[in-house]
Amino acid sequence: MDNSIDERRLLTALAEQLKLPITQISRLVELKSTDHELIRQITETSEIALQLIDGLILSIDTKSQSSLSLEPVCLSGVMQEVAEDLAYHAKKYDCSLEVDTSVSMPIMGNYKALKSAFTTLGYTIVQGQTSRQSRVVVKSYKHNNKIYAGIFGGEKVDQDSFKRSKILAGSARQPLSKSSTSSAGIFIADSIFATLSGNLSLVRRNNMTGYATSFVPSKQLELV
Amino acid sequence: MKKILLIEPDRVLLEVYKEVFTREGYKVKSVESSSEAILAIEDNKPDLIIIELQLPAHNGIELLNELKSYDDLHECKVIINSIIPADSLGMSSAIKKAYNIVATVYKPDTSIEKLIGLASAALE
Repeated sequence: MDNSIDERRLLTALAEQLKLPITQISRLVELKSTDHELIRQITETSEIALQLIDGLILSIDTKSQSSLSLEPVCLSGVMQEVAEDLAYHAKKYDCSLEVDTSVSMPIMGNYKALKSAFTTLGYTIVQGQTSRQSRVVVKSYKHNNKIYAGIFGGEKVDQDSFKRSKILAGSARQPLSKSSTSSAGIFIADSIFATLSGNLSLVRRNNMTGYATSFVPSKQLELV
Repeated sequence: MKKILLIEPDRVLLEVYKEVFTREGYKVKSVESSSEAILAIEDNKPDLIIIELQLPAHNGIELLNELKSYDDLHECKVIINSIIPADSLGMSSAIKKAYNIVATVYKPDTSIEKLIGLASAALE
């Protein structure tokens, strides 16, 4: 049996198993504590952990399938929901979180995969902030007949560092040296987007750099 | 007093849910498997079943199929509270109606407060 298939299966099994203790932590705190702020902190933190796990499982699943099933998706709606999911964490990490999805653009995508990928990406960027009161923007826009969507802000990374980090992901503790973590959310998102739209790129827009992916707009959906 | 049957294989979560629903004033019977559930139901018919689908030996769907044949359980409502994401289950409205499933939630995402709300709505 191919070792990489064995490892993927083991990783998927582990990821599924991890959901249980995380859920237990959340429910036990809800039961035992009367401190509403503590309950909120623990449940929000548990939810992001579960999002990361679900994102990992999805990215492993997408590697073993050739593609995800596509459906019409309102991208700006997805980005709004991602921003709502990230709001608590942004506040915790002293970031201002903005949403810039002024253009409503339908695309063919996979809602669950897009939401998972952008949320894990966004959380990693928020959590990786080193400066206080930094700005993170959840953004989608049209450029050169494509629709770009991504998370902007965070520590500035150059193209070479980003390319190197993809090679180092999973083997180095800090593939992106400016972040103190494994930056897993960026690579999980990259893996999911690879089957949907195209790998993440480092892009620059309105004096901000960020990680974004691009979609080809669906002219048929725009007419609907 | 309304009766709830909790079918949950994880003992930690089972105790949490049991305590929560008991505090809410329900009569609660808790079991960890399909076979225990069948014995529990024979003793005392519940008004609501809250069930995890991923059960040891016989899964939740097999159990619900078995319970469908019980004449005196036709009024009993079911809430699926599972570690399997709801959208992975692919349950049509017809299947939900056939098994009297009033709600399907993803356990990691479902707070105690939400579960109580669903149970309360189901038992109104």
